[in-house]
Amino acid sequence: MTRRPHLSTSPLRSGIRAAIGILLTVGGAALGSEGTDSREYQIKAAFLYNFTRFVEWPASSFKDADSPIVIGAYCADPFTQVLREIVSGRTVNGRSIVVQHLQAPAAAQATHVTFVCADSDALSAYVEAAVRIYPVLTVGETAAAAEQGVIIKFGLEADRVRFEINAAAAERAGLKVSAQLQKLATAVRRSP
Amino acid sequence: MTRQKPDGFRSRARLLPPCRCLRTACFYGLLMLPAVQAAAAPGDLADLSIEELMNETVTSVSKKAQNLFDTAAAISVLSNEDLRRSGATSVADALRTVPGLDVASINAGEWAISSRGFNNQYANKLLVLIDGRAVYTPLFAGVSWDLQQPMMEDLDRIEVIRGPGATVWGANAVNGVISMVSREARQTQGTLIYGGGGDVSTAMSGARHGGRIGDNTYYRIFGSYRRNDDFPLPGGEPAQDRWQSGHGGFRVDHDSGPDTRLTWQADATSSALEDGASNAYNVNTLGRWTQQLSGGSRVELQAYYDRTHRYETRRSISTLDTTDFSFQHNVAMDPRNDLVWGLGYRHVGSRLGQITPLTRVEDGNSQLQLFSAFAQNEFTLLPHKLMLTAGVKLEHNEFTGAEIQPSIRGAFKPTEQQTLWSAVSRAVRTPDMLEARNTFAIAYGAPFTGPDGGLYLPTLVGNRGVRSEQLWAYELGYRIQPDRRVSIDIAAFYNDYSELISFGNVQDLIPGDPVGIAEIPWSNVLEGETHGGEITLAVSPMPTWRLTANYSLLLTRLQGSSTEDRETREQSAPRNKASLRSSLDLGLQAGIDAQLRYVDAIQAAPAYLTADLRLSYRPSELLEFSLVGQNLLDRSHLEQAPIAYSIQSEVPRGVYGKLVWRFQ
Repeated sequence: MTRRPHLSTSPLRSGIRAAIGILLTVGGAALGSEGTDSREYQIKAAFLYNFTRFVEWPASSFKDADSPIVIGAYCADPFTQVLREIVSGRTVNGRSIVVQHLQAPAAAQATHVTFVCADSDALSAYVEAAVRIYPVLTVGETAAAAEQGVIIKFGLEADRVRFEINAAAAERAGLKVSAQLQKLATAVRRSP
Repeated sequence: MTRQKPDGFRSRARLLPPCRCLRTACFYGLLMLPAVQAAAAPGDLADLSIEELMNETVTSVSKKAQNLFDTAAAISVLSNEDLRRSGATSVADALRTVPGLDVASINAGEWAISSRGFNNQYANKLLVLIDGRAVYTPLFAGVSWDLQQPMMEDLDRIEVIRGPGATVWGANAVNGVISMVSREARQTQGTLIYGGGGDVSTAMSGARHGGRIGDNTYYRIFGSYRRNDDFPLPGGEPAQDRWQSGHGGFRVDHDSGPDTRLTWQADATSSALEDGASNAYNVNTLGRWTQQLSGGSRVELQAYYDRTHRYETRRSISTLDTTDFSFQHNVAMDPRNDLVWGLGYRHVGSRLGQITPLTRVEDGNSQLQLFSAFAQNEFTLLPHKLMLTAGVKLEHNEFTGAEIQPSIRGAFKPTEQQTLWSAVSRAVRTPDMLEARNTFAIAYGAPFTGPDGGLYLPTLVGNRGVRSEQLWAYELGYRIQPDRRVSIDIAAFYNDYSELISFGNVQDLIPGDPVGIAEIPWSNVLEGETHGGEITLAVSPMPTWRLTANYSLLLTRLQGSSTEDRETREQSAPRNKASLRSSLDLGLQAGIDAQLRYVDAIQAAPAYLTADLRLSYRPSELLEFSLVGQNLLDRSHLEQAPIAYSIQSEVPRGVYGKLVWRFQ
């Protein structure tokens, strides 16, 4: 779908448009995100489950063929519950999925996927710790998290959840992200 | 998951995975309210593919519902949730709340269902499809609803289009199309068992198991059984129309590549009505191959075989074998044009045997072939504002030769929250085997004394020269969603019919001993027009409560030389219908659903007001109890005019309880 350029861009018009945009986003956010069990987070939880289907971890990250995939989340309640509902009873490549609420930054070590919610305090400490641990698929929601080097960053666009992939970070972490997932990402950053 | 069907606004996102069902399911019908309808439970979100997830919206109407909102057709959809909460025990009953549809029970196991008028047991102006397979019988171009018992728990949705869908679906979709789409095997994993019973629906039970073979192949197998008790006669005694039905089958979906999907399904249904006086079975199998091509195009190839056998002591014994092949190509030419075209071939072989002298089988064996081709393009004149769809279907059948059915539809969106649409179509109902062939000679009425003094029995006979019924349909519709929680949908129509087939006058007197035959051929003796409309208002005062109100109006005027039948026809469907439904969630575990329906009088049945109530309780995600009361306001009521050779009974009040148990 091609986007047509807008015809006129007087500063006043852009200003008004920006103000409306902010109002809608904030308003929308206020309406939409009533908490980490809101629709937005339900969709993100479903994405986390789907990411495990499109990312390959090195064999060394699993003890044996039956070891579960561990998703660690550092988020306000009840996100972990939402995520557990999503993954309950499902398997990926024969492995079940286990959800953990991360109590400390270092707990990311035991996970395969670490998701740090935007509204978490000590956010950057968690992200910083997680991105140093390999091979973990780090997922964040904020620009700051992206700057710190998370592999996947969620965004919202036109009322839908989108994601960007930092391919260089994925490579550093030793993870293989499937071409299909890269195709669906809004952006794939290759520079480190 | 579903891709927009050609006949309307098409989905912009090429990301959407291929449409699963040929020519049917890709319409979606969330005419209802976004807030309650689209909100899938978290578990259901995990069932979506990643492409589908990318289309889920956070705050407003989901893309599916948005596309439906823009469609240039009068369409409603019953989702799996709607079906579950309606408490209906069969798809025929589930259709009662669709605006514009006339659903009338003739007896415990037979229904008369039609769209926008002309309703009787042999209602022949409606096309019904299950997963792309046409389930109408070419014998009388109608549907035997007792054999349509798909497991409702695994139905994804039922789409109903009122008005001609003839361009894409073909002849017989004159007044509407009902398309039932079952869930993909991937979405029905795990085991589900249900059981229940009550006083009218005495038993209902079923089980399904879905699993996976390798990474790319999903399957499910299922079976169900139901038994219904007698309905009462108008006097109160049981009508001896009790029946039972069994259904079973499987489905396999295999993704042989990221862009290729193969589906194979088969099922069998058996039905024993009136304690054995009428037995029927259906076996069918269908295969489909869908291939997504580069550049956003897609091809689908589908083939099915269907055998339906019916033994009716009052009518005949019949076996019909249908083999159907169809091909469809969605061409993504450029962003402003969406072209779809297709070819089809169908062969129907039939064998009929006589059982009663009142329905004489003259020539019971036949082989009929039907060739069809269609093409339709959707032009985007102004993106998101003005769309025009033009299409044509060409068919060749054995009775009337070539038929052409063009249609043009336009949709205009003055704002994002409004759609104004309009359509003009020509549709055709080709004569069925009863009308156009020397198949049956059916006794009709009492013997009379002819001019020569002899006694003659009026008998309906086939007529080789009968022509197709024709319709020019003019439709107009408007949808508005003034607020996130309110939506209004209005559709109006004017249908101009000509060459309507009915029984005319006595053509031939054949003397006989003791009684001769007065031949009355099926002829194109009627013409006329119907007009009316449907309006739906859906309101969600709270996120947990949804109210839907429908009103339908139908005015019929017919002219022709068959006076008696004309009046019956004119009054075969009620003039006014209204319904009010309420769906309330009490926390996460309980729910109350209620339905109030008013149906105006027809010639032989008075108006009735009826109510259904469903209470449900889910102690856990795996278990659901429900208690359903149906037709609560009356001990029993009549719904349909008497039909020759059918038991006619009244629909009684009934209660049943049901338990559904899911586990992985």
